[in-house]
Amino acid sequence: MERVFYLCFGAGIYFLACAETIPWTKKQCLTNADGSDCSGLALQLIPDEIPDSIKTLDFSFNFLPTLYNSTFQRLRNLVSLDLTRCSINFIYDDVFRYQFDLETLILVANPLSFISDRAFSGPLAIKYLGLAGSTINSLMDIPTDHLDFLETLDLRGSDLHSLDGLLKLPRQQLKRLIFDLNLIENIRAADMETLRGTRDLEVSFKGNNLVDVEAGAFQNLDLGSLDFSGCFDKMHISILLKGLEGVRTNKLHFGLFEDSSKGYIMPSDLQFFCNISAIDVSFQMQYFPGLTNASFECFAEIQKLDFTRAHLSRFPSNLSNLSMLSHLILDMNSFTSVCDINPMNFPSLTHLSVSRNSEYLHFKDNCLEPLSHLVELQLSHSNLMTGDVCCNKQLAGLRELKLLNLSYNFLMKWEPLPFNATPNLEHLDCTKTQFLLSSSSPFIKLENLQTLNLSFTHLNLSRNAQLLKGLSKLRELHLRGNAIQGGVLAKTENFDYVPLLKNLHLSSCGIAQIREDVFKNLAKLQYVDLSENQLAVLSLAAFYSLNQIQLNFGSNKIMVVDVNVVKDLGTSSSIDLSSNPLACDCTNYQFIMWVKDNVRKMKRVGKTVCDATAERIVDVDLKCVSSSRALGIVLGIAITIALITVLGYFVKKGQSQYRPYSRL
Amino acid sequence: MKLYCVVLILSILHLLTGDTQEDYWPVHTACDSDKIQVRYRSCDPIQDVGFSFSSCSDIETQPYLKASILLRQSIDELYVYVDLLKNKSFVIYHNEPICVRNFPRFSFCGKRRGEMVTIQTSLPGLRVPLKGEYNFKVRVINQNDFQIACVYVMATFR
Repeated sequence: MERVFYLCFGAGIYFLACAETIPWTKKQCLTNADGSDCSGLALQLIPDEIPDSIKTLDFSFNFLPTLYNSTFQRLRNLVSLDLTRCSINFIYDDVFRYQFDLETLILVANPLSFISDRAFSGPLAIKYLGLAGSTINSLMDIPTDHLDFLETLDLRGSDLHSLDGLLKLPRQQLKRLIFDLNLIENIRAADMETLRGTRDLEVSFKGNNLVDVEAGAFQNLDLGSLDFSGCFDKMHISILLKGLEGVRTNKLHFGLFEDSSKGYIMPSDLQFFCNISAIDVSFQMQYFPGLTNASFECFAEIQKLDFTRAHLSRFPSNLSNLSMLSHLILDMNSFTSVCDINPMNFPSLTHLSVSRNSEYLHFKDNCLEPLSHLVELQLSHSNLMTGDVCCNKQLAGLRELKLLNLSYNFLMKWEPLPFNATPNLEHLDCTKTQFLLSSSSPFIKLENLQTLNLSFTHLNLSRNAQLLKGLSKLRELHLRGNAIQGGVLAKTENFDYVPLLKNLHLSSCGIAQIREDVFKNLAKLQYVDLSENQLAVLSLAAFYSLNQIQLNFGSNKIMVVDVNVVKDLGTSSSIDLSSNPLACDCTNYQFIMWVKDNVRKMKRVGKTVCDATAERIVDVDLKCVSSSRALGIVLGIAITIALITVLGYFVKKGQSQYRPYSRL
Repeated sequence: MKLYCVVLILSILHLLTGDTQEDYWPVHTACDSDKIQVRYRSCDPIQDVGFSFSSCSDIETQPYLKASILLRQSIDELYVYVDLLKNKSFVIYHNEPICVRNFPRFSFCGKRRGEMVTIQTSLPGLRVPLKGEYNFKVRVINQNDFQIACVYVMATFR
């Protein structure tokens, strides 16, 4: 009888246990048809379970101190191999002998002390070689004989002291050379001579403490980009500019960093640009004391100038020779008025950015009128003072304007039709800029508007029911952070005016419920963001169609998902349910199974986790006796009772059989 | 009899199986003096982080900070989010872009996965005299919304 009790009790407990979640953390490579991700598993060899046929292998953050020709022997289809931070010290000969298709080899942050001259031998096709932080002291240490197809060599932070060995590099296909944050002090004409004959090559010396650049070192080179940001701790920029005379390049970076020394560019330094041919020049964080009308006279060919945080408060009134300039970036400076830019200096300007201005920026009437070709105007985070009314006089003359960013500014009092001066506007951003309306439909004339951002503007959609009137071509609407009255998103007249809407952002609106007919007229909807709301129940009944739509329900309060709701999502549709307090027990069993079968339809799978255990839903190994926990419990109890009943029956029967003998 | 006992024990163990273990990184001390103590603990599930001040006494003048973070992803963009709590109640929330594609403020912007970011710099001194216990939560996020580092900092001003 005692045995029977233990058996029954044990069986009952077992079934109850099965009804609970049994979380299981994966500790093995994740493999799909094309590749394997074995990163961070403290592996010391390539696991046998990795199929021979994989094309990409992420083996980063493991332990592989020596690479032999046998290490990757069976993985002959590899196209990309990531060996970041694997403590590799020795690379012996013929390691990639059989990887004919290997294009990307990443050896970042390995303490490479020996690379065999035959390490890369074989018919290799390596295009990208990542050696950042790999303690390579000299370019001579890189065996380059078999790297004829090399396009990018990344040697940032590798303790390089000089450019000796640059001559050895194969240059036929070379597109990018990255020497950032090394210890290179000198650039000689002989070093750069080796780059002659290349076209559109991007070379970066960012963060090297240069001491000397030989005059004319870059003469006659035709490059795509040259980056000398943060190279001026030990050398004045004039020495570099002398070295750059005679160069032709698209981009030139002379910026500084907050962790590098201050730099001053005098008007005389800018004269070197008469012998430098560039299209796009960046002077981020530099100082320009004593700018005069003649300062930029050598900038006649330059089309883009970046003066981000260049400590500017005013441009001279009659700058000569900037007639070709099309892009001007003046972010993070200290202008007090838009007029101080003196726009008549830049008659060809198409893009102007005066964002994050540190002073109050007065946006006075007709200041920008000379910029009749302006297409893009960025004025966000700029303490913009628009006066009594906005914005027709401020935007006067900007008929070609297509993008206007007024976000993160002070309260504006809009005229009845505030953007009449810019009838061709396609994108308007007013995020976190409150406005006082003086008409019910301020955008009515903006027939070409495609994107409108009114996030965090204290907008009341139901009270301003005709706000979106006239926006018949609107494709993207941001209404994030505007509280919905009562938390119930109900049908609004506004959505009837925007029949072509594709993207709708309604996150952080305090939405707790969505009425069924809200989006029924929006047949073109492809993306709806309803994240960071208060939704506890997932319902997709409000949408016109679920065939081709991306839905974001992240960071709501959804615990249990009815699988019938998500089952209707089309093959090209997806849903984001990340950061919801999802239950990982048998109440959600069917949904969890659906997720496992439809991972492609789930966005941010890594953050779609169980509320209790923080385990990814897709990894949950849930064992439910039946579809629900309750049924599991009932079954456990039922079996226990049944066994007791059967045993009770047999005991009773046995007693009745022996009863006649007892009478004797 | 023994067999049945084993069944019972295994069943109960099965019921109790669950991932209740949570990895906590040790608490480190960044600086410690009579007036100020700064301690911190990584709140990142993957890795610890290191930082220290040259000494506590210069926190009010010009502290020298040394910090190191191992990058599990590249940092073409980097944003820092700081929550400040005083005596367990929320005081200030602040976020700051550190690296933006068109405006890399620091030379380490653009570093690749696997590289280290090592910061050695003087900071502006703490001008306001503080008393009591302050708790900071500092989270550093990259362009993919990936958490590069997370640190709880506990500062006690006596």
